[in-house]
This record gives sequence, C-alpha cells and structure tokens, in this order.
Amino acid sequence: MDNSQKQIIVITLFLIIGVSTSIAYFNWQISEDQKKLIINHKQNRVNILQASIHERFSSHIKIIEETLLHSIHTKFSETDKINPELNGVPEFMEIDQRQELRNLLESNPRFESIGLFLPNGDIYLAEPFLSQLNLPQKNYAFRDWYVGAINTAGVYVSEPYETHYTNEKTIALSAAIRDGENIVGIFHTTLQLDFLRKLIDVQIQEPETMWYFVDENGKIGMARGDQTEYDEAFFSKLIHSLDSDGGYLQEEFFGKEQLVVYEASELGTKDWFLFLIQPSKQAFTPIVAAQYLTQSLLIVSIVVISGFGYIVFWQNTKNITIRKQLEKSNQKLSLMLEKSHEVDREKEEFSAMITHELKTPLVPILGHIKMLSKKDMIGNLNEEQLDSVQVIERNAKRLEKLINDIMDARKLDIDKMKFDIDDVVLDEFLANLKSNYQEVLNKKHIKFVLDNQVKGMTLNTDADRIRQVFGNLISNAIKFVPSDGGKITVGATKKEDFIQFYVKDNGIGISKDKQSHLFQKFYQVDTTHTRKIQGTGLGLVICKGIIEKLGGSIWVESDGKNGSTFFFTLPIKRA
Amino acid sequence: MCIMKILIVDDNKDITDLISKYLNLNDHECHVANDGRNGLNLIESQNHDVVLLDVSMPEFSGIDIVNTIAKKDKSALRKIILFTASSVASSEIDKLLGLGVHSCLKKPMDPDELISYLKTFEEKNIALQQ
Repeated sequence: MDNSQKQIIVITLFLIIGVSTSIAYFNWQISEDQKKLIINHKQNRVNILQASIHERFSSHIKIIEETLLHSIHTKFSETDKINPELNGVPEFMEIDQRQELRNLLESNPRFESIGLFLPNGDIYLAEPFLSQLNLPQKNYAFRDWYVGAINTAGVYVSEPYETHYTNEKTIALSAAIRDGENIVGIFHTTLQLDFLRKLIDVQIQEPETMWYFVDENGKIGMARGDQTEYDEAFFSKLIHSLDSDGGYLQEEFFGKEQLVVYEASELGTKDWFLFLIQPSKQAFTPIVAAQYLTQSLLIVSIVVISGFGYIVFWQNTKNITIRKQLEKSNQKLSLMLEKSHEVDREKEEFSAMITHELKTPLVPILGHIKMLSKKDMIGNLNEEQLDSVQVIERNAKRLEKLINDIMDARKLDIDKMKFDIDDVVLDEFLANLKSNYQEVLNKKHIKFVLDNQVKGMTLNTDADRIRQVFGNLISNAIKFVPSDGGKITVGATKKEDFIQFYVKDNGIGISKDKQSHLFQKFYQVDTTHTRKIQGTGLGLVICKGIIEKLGGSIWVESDGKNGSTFFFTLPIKRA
Repeated sequence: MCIMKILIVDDNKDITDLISKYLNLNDHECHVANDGRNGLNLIESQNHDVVLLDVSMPEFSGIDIVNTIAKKDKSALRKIILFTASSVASSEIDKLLGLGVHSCLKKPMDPDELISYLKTFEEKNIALQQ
C-alpha cells in the first residue's frame, strides 16, 4: 500500500466519524427540543380548557353564593333546626315559594334547575316534572347534596351522575341557607356537563387522542367518545400519584405507551383533573419524521463514503479478507473436529467400561458352571441338578452373546472393528463349519447339508469374522426350521470375481415386505409379545456390517412360504 | 503334563478363586494377587512360568504393571498373558503387545480352553529353550 492510499484511508475514516457524530448530535438536539415544544403545546391547550371549565363552575358557584345572600335567605327564614329526614317533593307545593324559585331561574338563565330543601324536609323544585312529585323521602342523590351542603361552609359539588330524565352527565351544586348558627334550608342547582364536553371535543381533534375529565376519586365526568375503556380504579390510583399543579407523564395505557398531559384545579369542594391521552408515537409524529429524515441522511452519507473507500481498497483487501475468513473457518472446523474426537473418545471409554463391567461377572459364572458340570471335578451332581446347571449355562452364554453383539454393532458404527486378514482355505473352512454345528444339529434332528462348489480355492479374508457371520445365519435358520424334518444347507459357489456363500433353510420363510427391514437394527420379524423366537435383532445388522467391510454384500431370498436363503458374497481378491 | 507355576493378578476375587481352583485341580501351582501393586511385587520377587494379568484394575492397573516391567526387563514380559473384558480399547492392548507381552485373552474364557492354551504356551517355551 503506498502513501497516497494511506492518506485516502485516513481522510475517509475522518469523514465518516465527523459526519456521523455531527448528524447524531444534531438529530438528538432536534428530538429533545421538539419533544419539549410538543409537550408544552399540549399542556397549554389543556390549561386553557381547564381554565374554561373552572370559569364555568366558578360562575355557577358565584351565582349560588349571591343568590343565597340576597334573595332566598329573606324569603325562607325559619328558626327550626333542619329535618335530616327529607320528605321529598310535596304534591301541592306552596305557590309563593315555587314562584320565587321560578323568578330566580328566569333571572339566572345559566341555572339548569333550582331546588330548595326546607327545614321540615320538603323539597321544592322550580320546575318539577310529574315524575318528581312525591319523590321518596330517602332519595339518595338528594340526600347526598343535602348532607354535603350541611357539612360544607361553601358550595358542595357532587360527583358526576346521569340524570334519569335526560341521561346527561350532570353535577349538582348545593349550599346551606343559614340564619346565624341555624341552617334554615338547602339551595341546590345542577350543571349539565354536556356543554363542557362539546367545548373540549372541538378543541381537541387529533386522531387517536382521548381526554377525560375526572374528579379526585377517579369518577369520570366527561370523556371523548366511547368510555368503555375507562378504568375507574386505575385512574383513582393514578390521581393519587399526580402533582396537583399539573404536568405530563409517559405511561402504558390500553396496551400502548401514551403521552398523558394533565391539569388539576379545585372546583367547589373538590380537585378535578383533565387528562389528554395520546399514543407517544402519535404525539411525537413530527419528531419521528425528523428522526427518520436525519437517520436516512446519516445512513446515505455513510454508505456513500464507505462505498467510495471500499471501492478504492477493494482490490488490496480482497485477498487478505478471504484468507482471514478461511483461517477463521479452519479454526472453527478444527475446534469442532477436536470436540467431536473428544466425544468419540469419551464414548469409546464408556463402552469399554460397560463391556468390562458386564463381562467380568460372566467369568466366575461360566467357570463354576464348568466345574459343576464336569464329572469328578468337585463332586458329581445328580441328573436334575445337572439340568438346572445347563439352564444357567445356556442363559449365561446368551448374555455373553448379547454383550458381544452390542459391542460389535457399536464397533461397526464407529468404524473400530478390527479385521485379521489371511488366506483361508475354503475346503477346510467349510468342513470345520460343518463339524462345529453337526453335533448341535443332530441333537435337534436337523439335517445339515454342505454344498461346496469351490473346492481347492482360497479366499483372502478374516476367517473368524466369516465364521461369526455363518454362526448368526445358521443360528437364525435353526430357530425357524420345523422341529420335525428341519434342513439347513450351507453352500459356496464362484460368481465371477466373488465367492457366493449361502445358508438355506426349510423354515417358515420371510414375507417380501419384511425382507427389506431385516438388516435394520433391532428389527424382529415377529414383534408380538408372545413371539417364540428369541434374539436382539442385531445379528443380521452385524453380518451386513462385516460383509460390507470385507468388500461384499448380503441379501435374502424367500417367497414367504417355503423357507429362506441368505446369500453373501466376498471378493476373491481384496482391493 | 508339566506342572506350571502360575500367578493370577485380578482385582475380582471370584475370578482369581475360580481360575486358581480350576488350575489347581489340573495340577498346576497357583499364586494370587488381588491388586496391581501386590501383583507387581510377586512378579518381581518370584519366578513364575506364566502370569495371567487382568488389564483393568483400580489404582495400579495391568497396563501400569506392564509399563513398569518394560522399563526394567522387557524379556520378562514374554511370560505375561493379559486378559480383558473390554474389547473396544484395543489400541491400548496393541501397545502392550508391541512392548513384548505374550498374548491377550478375552473374558469370559472357557476354563478348559485356558488349560489347553497354557499347555500350548508351555510346550512352545520348552521347544524354544531346547
């Protein structure tokens, strides 16, 4: 690499770092500022709305206070203590008092209704509807206002409720008419909140934005649109953690992160809160857009500059990169290989240990069996005892064969089976085979036929392993031939460059569909629980493994009725 | 048949008991060691015609014994016949055979086959000496 190339690298790096840093800083600055601006803007709007609500309430409270001072007080003064049990609205209200209320309503059009509770418990309303006549004594809404007014020096403000005749959200305001220490009556009026609701809705028309007007107990007064998502308990809890001066917070509502701007104010005897809730993503849309723009600029700049740098040095770095990648891959592969070898080693050690532990007890078992069975060695057993010892011997040998089979299958799996290759004179080999099995087969009345068509030939192979294969095939044949008239033929014939051996029986045969599974591990032709033939299902797998390792192949032929013939071939000349 | 002086080294007492009994019944003279260190002491201190040595033993194994002897007198390994039940770790066995150990038998061996194996072993030794 020459000096000019080095200079270009340095310049490119500086450019990338410089541009990235400045854009990131710029981006961050804009975000914070815009965020503040947006929150302020929203807070201002909420402030204005809250102020107009406050103004509306206050004017009502003011009117009530003035009314109490100037008119009602003189008209209804009585010296009796007020009756805490309300009588309700009498059917025939006193005309004077009713007229007084009407006048009051007319002179103050902002009053939606006016009522008066007298010390005797009668309730007078300016415009009683028929349904209001004879209101029950214990009308709980009236009682709340009544009790609220008695207990409050100023004007009592009720919780929002829906009137049963208009179904509109309403707040009741009530105040006590006092004569010195005595309360001579309760004056009350109501304020429909619908007017305020329309005012707020007109002011806030952003999408996905909700607003709530809530009293200090979390009770909803007004809200935008559908109020079914409103959770009174949640808001009640939230309100207790809020600052009474108003503010904002970001909180998860309705499954989204939301920006919540709120304003609190004292109306009558209570604190009230106006909440403006908007998904944060939505609220900060202008910022997000700005961020996207700056981020896109950043990415484009980096891509362009990097691309330039990359093209300049591509040629030089290409070879280095490939070499490094290759080295890295090689390292990874070596590690993996080492690990796999380690696992293999561990498996091998484990197998050796298991074999040792399983086989060791067989030494004394088989040895003592031998001593017990031999005449005049350590005393003689009677016939019945000898039979028992033979059962033990047969089963111990079965166990030994099973362990050997499992280990052979494992060795074939991990390619660790050893072969001792030597010249095998086939005449001798086959004759020995016959003599080895003759006795056992005679005992079982099975006819053994040797069909040797390879006289005088020699095969370069592992005689012990081939004996093992024949052993497995002949043992299988013995299991399947009929108890009366059983016949096993072992033969060998030359087929081009191979010697083809076979073991044929006149047993029950193997159906075509089962033949393809025969050389699979643990496969049994008869898998029922009541199967008569014992075995691990490994014998043929081992045969196949051995034959294939010695360069041959193995298969079965059977029509499923008249016995079966297992063939295997071995090359005359080993590769 | 010649009477042989045989040392059996195996940590499994059932096995040493059986083999020694069987060999005694066949008129051989048997000595037994049930751990590797004791086995090595007997090999070094007494002159046996043949040593039947188990490969896997705790603490001081047959492999350790062979390696120790190999450092002093390789020719002494000629009278050692290993026996092992584990068949997979054959690479270790190959190493021991490479050092000069006579042979390796696999457990469980037929006691009669062992007797005839020892007979052949002794006959070959006598032939070599002559």
